[in-house]
Amino acid sequence: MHAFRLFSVALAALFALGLSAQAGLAAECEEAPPVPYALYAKNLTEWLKLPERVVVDVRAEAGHNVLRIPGSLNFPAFSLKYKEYLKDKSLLIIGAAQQRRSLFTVCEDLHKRSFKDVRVLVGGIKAWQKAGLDLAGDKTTLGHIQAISPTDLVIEFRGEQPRIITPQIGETEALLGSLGTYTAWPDLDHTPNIGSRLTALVAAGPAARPIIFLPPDSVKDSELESIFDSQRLGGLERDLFYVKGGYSALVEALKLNAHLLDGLKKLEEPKVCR
Amino acid sequence: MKMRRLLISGFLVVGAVFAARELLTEREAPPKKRSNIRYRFTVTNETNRAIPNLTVQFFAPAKRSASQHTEALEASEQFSVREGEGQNQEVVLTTLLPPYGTKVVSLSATVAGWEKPRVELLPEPDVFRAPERWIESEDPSIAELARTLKREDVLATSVSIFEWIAKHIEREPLTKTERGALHALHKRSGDCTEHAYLFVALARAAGVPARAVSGFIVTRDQVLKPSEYHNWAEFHDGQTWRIADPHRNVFDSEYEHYVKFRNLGGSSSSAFAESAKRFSAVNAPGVSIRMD
Repeated sequence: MHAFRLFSVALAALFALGLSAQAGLAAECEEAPPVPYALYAKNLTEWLKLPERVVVDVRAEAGHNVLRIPGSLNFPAFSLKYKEYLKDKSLLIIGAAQQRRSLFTVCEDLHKRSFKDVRVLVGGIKAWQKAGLDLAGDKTTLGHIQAISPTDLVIEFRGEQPRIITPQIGETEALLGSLGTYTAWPDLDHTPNIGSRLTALVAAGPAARPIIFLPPDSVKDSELESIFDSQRLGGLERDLFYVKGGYSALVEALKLNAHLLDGLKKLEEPKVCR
Repeated sequence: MKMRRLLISGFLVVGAVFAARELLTEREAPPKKRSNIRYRFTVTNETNRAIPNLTVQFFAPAKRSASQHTEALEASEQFSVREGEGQNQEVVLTTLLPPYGTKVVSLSATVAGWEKPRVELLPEPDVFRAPERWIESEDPSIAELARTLKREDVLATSVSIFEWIAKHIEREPLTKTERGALHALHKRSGDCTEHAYLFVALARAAGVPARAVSGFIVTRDQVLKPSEYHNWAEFHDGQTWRIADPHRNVFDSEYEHYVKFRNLGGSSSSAFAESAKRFSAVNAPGVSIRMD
């Protein structure tokens, strides 16, 4: 009888242990961030309450001078590791669209070099802007053109309803349509002042809608600088991105990564633990 | 029995009070390291007359700063310590020098260095925003550059000024002549002194209180050499003074290695500092002092 009681107590203890372990596992699962070192715009208000916080802008100097987060520091990402005084601070890295993924590697490196808390703002300065937070800078010279890789375009501007403008009209319109609004503008490189027309075009959509120029296959990347010189872009109140490799590169990337969008959608859904 | 219980509970209460006091009183963090430094001067009488009451002054490490405390000061001769303006202090000794005679004076100090600066509010009067000799913060070219480098807060402004100087001003080895901030900006080059002055000038022009500082970089117990003399800048962030040393590319770190001798800004107007050759001064003609 005594042995039976002892056995049942042991069984109950084991059961309790199992339950608590499962509960612990569940808690861990809920807390785990989807991507390490990433800070999403929705968590910005929380981050802004941290005591020793510093925003580090690793974009090019010109872009930083034009539009920046008030009080943010500006230097290249590679030099961050030499900044001893930032080791104990909570850092938020703001990168350009095309460098954001490589920044996670930078974070990993900084973490190894005993930097306390490093994170990358997903969506960069645009996410900050969309969160309704203050920006500073000399905006008079706004209107830059910068490159973005097709894969980054799919990831970075997902859900932002970008306005894709291209002179090349293809058969894969539907595929491009899954990314944003698609506008054919055949005589774009002959239109004298495209800056204000582009601004008018995107004014109808969401406030910070990105403009993506998709070059036709006949136009080389090197020629774009002259098509979009600062005079022609005058009046454009935001950055203009062009897709590296042009039309066929994007179509190829979209075809290859058709499942990527689904995958990313799943990532945003709350993780269900068994 | 009752008495004993009372006694024990009394002890417990007293113990708890002491423990609480220990926990609640904020104790100053201990220094990161203590360095013993030594330095030596040769005083020479170049005249053919004996000088009976010669008073010589040598600069000593600053008594107390945000990240430094000079705990002990010794000299090979009998001396007195004179506290100058701000944190500056001088070792004063009176001696007799025969004709053409020389005297070697060695000094030593124990300096405690903190890893991070402690709170040190901006001293009164606030003279750290106005232009000074070598710090031409009102010059149009400096003001214009400061305008483009100015950011929304003190840290960001200081970092952008620091980065600009580190990137654009070439580093020269130490030279004896002082040339100032404007010279460094126009020539795009300078030694540690010009780097420090340019930082101070740009910071002041951008509205950040700053001052130039002189001293030595001490990484171990060592004998200081005149060639190791160094100038750097400090800016005030509202809480304390922070180091900006564009010449060595050090910003707001390595505090324990920076042994400050003098604050150059503000107090440099005193006659003593004006006549001072780097680290010493003398009151008689025909007497020279050289740091060995």
